[in-house]
Amino acid sequence: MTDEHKSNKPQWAMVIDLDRCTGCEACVVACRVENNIPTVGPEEAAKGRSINWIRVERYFEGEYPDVKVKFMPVLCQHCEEAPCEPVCPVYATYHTDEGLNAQVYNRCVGTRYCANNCPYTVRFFNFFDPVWDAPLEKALNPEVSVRTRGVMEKCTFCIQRIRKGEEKAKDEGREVRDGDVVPACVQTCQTKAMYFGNIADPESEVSKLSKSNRATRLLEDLGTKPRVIYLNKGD
Amino acid sequence: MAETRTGVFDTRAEAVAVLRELQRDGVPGSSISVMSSEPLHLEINDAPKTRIAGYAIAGGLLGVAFAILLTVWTSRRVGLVTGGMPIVSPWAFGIIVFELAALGAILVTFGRMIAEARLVRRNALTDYDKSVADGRIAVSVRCSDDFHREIAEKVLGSAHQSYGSLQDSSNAE
Amino acid sequence: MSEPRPTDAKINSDLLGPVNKPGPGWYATVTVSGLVVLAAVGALAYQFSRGLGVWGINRPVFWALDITNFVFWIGISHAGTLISAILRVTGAEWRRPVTRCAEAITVFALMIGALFPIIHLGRPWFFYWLVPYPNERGLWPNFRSPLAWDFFAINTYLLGSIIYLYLPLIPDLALLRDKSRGLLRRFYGTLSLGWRGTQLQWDRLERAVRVMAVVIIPVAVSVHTIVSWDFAMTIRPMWHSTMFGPYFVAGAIFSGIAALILAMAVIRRVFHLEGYLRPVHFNNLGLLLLTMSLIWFYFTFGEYLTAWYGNAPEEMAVFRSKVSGVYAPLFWGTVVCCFAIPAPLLAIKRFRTIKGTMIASVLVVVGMWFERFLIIVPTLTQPRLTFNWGTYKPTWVELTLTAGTFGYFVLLYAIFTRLFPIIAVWEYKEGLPLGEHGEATVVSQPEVGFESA
Repeated sequence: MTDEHKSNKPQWAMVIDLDRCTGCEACVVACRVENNIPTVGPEEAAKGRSINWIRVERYFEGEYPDVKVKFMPVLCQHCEEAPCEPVCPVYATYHTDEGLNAQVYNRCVGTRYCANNCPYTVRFFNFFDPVWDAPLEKALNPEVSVRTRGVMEKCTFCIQRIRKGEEKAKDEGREVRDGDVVPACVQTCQTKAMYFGNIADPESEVSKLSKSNRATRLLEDLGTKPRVIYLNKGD
Repeated sequence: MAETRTGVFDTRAEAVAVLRELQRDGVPGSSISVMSSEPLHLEINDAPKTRIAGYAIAGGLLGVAFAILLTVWTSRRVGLVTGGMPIVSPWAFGIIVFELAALGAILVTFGRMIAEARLVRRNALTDYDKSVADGRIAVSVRCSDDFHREIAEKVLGSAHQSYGSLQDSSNAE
Repeated sequence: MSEPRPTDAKINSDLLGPVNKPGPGWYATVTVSGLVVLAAVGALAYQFSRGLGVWGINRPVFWALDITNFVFWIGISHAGTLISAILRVTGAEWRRPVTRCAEAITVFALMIGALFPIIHLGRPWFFYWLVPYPNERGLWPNFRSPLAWDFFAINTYLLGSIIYLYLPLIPDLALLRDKSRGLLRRFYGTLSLGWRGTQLQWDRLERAVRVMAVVIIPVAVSVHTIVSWDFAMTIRPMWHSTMFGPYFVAGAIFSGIAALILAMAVIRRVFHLEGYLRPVHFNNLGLLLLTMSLIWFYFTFGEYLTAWYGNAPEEMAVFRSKVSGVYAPLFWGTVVCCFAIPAPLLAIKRFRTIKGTMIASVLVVVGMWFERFLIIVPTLTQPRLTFNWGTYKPTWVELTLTAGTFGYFVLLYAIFTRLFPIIAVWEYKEGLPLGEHGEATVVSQPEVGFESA
C-alpha cells in the first residue's frame, strides 16, 4: 500500500508451510462447509465451473518412477496492491483498512473483469443459481451470506471469524492476538501447515514466520504484494 | 407584423442577379433569405457572424470542468482504496476528462448550430416554397416597411416573369 | 467530371428511389434478418432466465465470444465516423456518395457493440450501476476502472456519431418532407426541424459538420484505444502491451473499411446506384484497405516478435498456443484472411475492382473477427499458474447471439435505407459541376461575390 493508506487496524495475513502440506485437502472441505460454497455437480465442474475458495495445486517433478509431487494450497492472496480491485467499475471489490481484499456481493454486477486480472485465478463466478445437494442445504452456515448467480466470490480470510475475534478482543479490552482469529482452513489443517494472524504485530507468529529465510510470495515479481506467505525450503 | 415576399427562380444566375439588385436597392442582407436544395456559397452582405467554433471550445472546457468535478468529488466521497492507487488518480481520470470534453464540444456545437441556423421554430416554413426541393431557388424578403415591400415586389416580380412567382404571406415571427 | 450534370429531378429520383418504396427483396432481407434477430432474442431470454452458465465460458475463460463481438463491432463502427470525418477534413471530393453509408454503419455497429457490455454481465439488470448519478446506494462508479472509461467513451462516441449522421441528414429530410404527404410528411417534417435551405442554414450546417468532424476523429481513436485498454491495463500475458491502443485502432479502421466496401457493394447493386457508387470509390477505398492491411501486419508482427524475443514463459505459452498450438489454424487463417490474400489482391490494380475489393473485404471482416477472438481467448485459457489452464468451446447460445449481431446489423441497415437516402443528396449535388445553375453567372461586384462551388 502506498503511504497514504496506512492504518492502525490489525493487518491480516496467512503463512502456509509448503514443507508440511500433505495435500490432504481438508482445508478445501472445511472452507466449503464454513463459507456456504455451492456444489455445481460433476458436469459443470468438468467445464471448469467448480468453486473452491482454496484449492491444492499439484505439481509433479521428475519422470516415473522418480517422481516428486509438490502441493501448494492456493487461495486469495489478499494482495496489498491487488490487480483485481481497480478494474471493478462498481467498487464491488476494494481494499479494507485491515488489508483484506473485500468482495461485496451485493455491489457486484458480474463483469468478471476482476477474475481476468487476477494472476492467481482465485476468483470464482456463479454461473447459475447456487444449489446444495440434500442434505447439504441443512448445513449452511448462518453467519455467511449465500451468493446469487451472476456475482463473483472468493476467499474472505473467513471475515465472519475475523469480526468475531475482533469483537471478543474488544470486549476483553485488549488488542487481538494469535488465536483470536482462526480461519476454517487453518483450523482444519492436520499438519499445522497454515498460520493466520496480524502481521503488523511483531510478536505474532505470522509476523515471525514471514521473516524466515524460507518465506516467499507467489508471483512476487508482479508487485502485487500478497498477504499470503509461503514457506518453502526449496529442496 | 413583418410580411414576406418570395420569388422562385430556376437558375443560380437568376437568383444571384435578383439578390444583387435587392441589395443595390438598399434591402438589408439580414432580411433576405435565399433558399436552395444545395449550398450555393453566396456571400450575402451583413449576414450574421458564426460563433460555432468558439462555442465548441467553450463546450469542451465545460466538459473538462464537469469531468474533473465529477471524478474528484465522487471518488473522494466514496473514498475506497483499490489496488493501492491514490483516491484521486489523475492518470485514470484524465480519460474521463477527455471524453467529457469531447462530449461537451459535440453537444454545444449541435445546440449552437440549431440556434444559429434558426431551426426548430414555429411557422418556419411560411416563406418557403416546396419547389426548392426540385432544384429551384427561392428568394424571400422580409419587409419591415412599405418601402422595402415595394422594392421586393418590383424586383422579385419583374425578374423572370416566366418562372418567378410572387407569393404573399404573413410571417408570424 | 466531363459529362453534363444530371438534372436535379434525376438525382432526386435516383437517390430517393429506394426510400419508402420497398421491393420484394427488401421484405425478404428484413424477414430473414428479423428471424435471425428473433432467434438471438430467444437465446438471450434463455440466458437471462438460466444464468451465464448457458455460455461456454468458465474459469479461467471468463470472457469469450461476448467480448469478441464487442470488440469486433466497435471496430466495425470505425468505418464510418472516422473515415467519413477524415475524408471530410481533408476535403476528399470522392467522399460525397460514401459518407452517409459509412456514418450509418458506425451508428448501427456501435449500437450492437455496446449491447455486449450489458448482456455479458452476470446481473445485466443492474447495468445502470455503472452510470454516474446520485443514487440511494451512496456509491459512484470507480473511475479507475477501464470499464468506466468504456462507458464514457462509448456513450460519447455513440451520441457524437448519431449527431454526426443526423446533421448532414437534415437537408435530405427536408427534401423528403417536400416530396411526401400525410403522416410521412409530418415524420420527415418533425425530423427536419423546419429546414428551409437558406444560405445561413447551409453555412451553419457546413460549419457544424466541420467542427464535428474535427472533434469526432480523436473520439473515435480514443474509443478503440480504451477498448484495447480493457486488455492492456491487466497484467495478463500478451494483453499487457503498450501498443494495444494503436494496434486496435488500426484493426478497427481496417475492418471498418472492409465493412464499408461490402455495404456499398450491396447498396449499389440493390438500389441500382451504379452511377453514384463508381469503381473509383471502390478503388480508393481498396487502396485504404491495402494500407490498413499492411499496417495491421506490421503491428501483428511487432506484437508477436516482441513476445517471442522476450521469451518470458507465460508469454511464450500464449504465443505458442497461437502460432503452433491449438489455435494455430485460426491464427494462420487470420493472417491469410487479413494479409496474405487481401494485400496482393489489392496491390494489383487489375484486381482492385468492385469484385476484387469485395472479396478482400469479406476475408478481412472474417479475419478480423477471428483476430479479436485470438486476442481474447488464448490469453485467458493460460493463466500464470499452469494448474489452472483451461479450454473454451462456445455453446449454441453464444453462436446464436453472434449470428444475431449480424442479423441485427442487416435489419437496422435495411430499415435505415428504407426511411432515409443512403447517399447524401445535397452533398452529392454540391460536388457536381454547376451545370444549369452555373450558366451565365458572371459576377464581378465585390459585395455579392461568391466562391465557386
